[in-house]
Amino acid sequence: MPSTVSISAIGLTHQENTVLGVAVNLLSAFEVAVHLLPAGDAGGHIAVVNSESDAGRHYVPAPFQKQLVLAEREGRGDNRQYLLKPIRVQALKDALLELIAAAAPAANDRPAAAKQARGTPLFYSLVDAIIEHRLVRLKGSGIQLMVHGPSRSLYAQAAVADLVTLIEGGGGVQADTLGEADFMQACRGAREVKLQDLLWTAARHGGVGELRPGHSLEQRVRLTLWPRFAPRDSKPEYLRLSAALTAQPMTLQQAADRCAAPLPLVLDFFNAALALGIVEVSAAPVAPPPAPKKPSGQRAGLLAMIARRLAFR
Amino acid sequence: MQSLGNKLIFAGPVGVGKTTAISALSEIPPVCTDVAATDETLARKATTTVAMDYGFMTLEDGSQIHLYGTPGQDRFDFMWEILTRGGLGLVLLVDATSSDPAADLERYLDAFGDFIRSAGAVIGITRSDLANQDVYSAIQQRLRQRDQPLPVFEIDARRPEEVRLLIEALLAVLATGE
Repeated sequence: MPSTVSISAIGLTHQENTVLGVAVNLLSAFEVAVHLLPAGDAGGHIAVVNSESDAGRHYVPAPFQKQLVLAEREGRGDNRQYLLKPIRVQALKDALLELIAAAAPAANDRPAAAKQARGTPLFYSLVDAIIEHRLVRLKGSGIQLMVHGPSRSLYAQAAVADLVTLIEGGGGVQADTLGEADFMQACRGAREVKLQDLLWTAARHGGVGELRPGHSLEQRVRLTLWPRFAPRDSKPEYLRLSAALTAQPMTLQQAADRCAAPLPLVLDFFNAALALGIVEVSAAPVAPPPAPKKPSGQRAGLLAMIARRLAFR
Repeated sequence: MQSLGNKLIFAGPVGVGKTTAISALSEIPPVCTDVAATDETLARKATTTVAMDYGFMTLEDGSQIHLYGTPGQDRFDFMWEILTRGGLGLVLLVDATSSDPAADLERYLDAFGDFIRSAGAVIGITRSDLANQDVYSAIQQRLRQRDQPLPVFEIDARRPEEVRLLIEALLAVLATGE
């Protein structure tokens, strides 16, 4: 396998293309050098093929090419792997990793990638541990972080600034669930770290854009409090989502539309808010939220000018 | 005041960092109406604002956003209502080293209640590094009790990027129109 793996998308829907884009970004975080080819370029080392589309049904792969087929039903074939629809970022990322690893020779020229592939993005593991109320040790990519899920507390030997730097470097972690005694032992000498000091950095550098089990895009969501962001983590989309979702309940899709934010980013925001315990979820029938009192054109222009004046990102 | 146009208002108790926050954004050194402190304020700072602090930012079309700091002492509170007329939004600063920051917050939320409802507000907690209590959580709890989910950030008013974050959050609230 070459040091950089190219991926072609064949007949993918808009949503599948979005999911693929996020998965490819995630692979980069795992130090796997991947490159998503532009639409129409079928010459990638791996082809991700939508078998339900015309282009996918009639697609003839090149001899060297591995295929990842997105399908309603399982299938078999040489050089071909299947992934059931609807596809999820995590599952797609794992399937791509498998294809990349399988194609690599025994003496892999990218051992780090194979090793990293066993890890999970810190954000995903962190949110998991908290929501599932587990005591967990996260370790990998230079990070060691103890997560006390029931109390939403974190403990680390390293300083927050060092942890932030490591998280920004990307890479996966191993998550080990511990008993109370082992957890206490592992925390000896560690200092408490505020969850919000790391959570948003982790979301920015390891978001997976996936809805957690038990939640749906149809449920209505409201934030009971504004999250706290450090300046380095304050994406404009996060601020817009916070303002919209504290103002009134709405579905995540409605929030994405209203705040002009990509859905995967909204899902990461929602997962982080779940971990912080500042979300009210209601399964009530969805009516479009009342239109906000839109600022007048003149006022909206003024707000935009202030934002630009302050050189907001 | 109205003729001066668009305003952002900075409010909060004596010594909380309003003048410093305005300095972080203003193109000019803030114009202050400070006098020598002679009362309990002297314990916190040598001078105190009696009318307002003022600074401004120039926008790309040549118009200006005016930055007003209200006087911190209650006996000058008649200025608060005057200064907020025509204001875009409120930046409310709370001193984490105060004996009861949540009570301070509540007092200002009530005093500026009408303005907050008609415009919007953001809360900045200053001097958190010197506090021996978890002021952020206390403030959030008080806001939850009031069902008033305003943006809250711990800031160092001397750091422009942290003051800018407050304004960015305020702009998000104002754009939502609530």
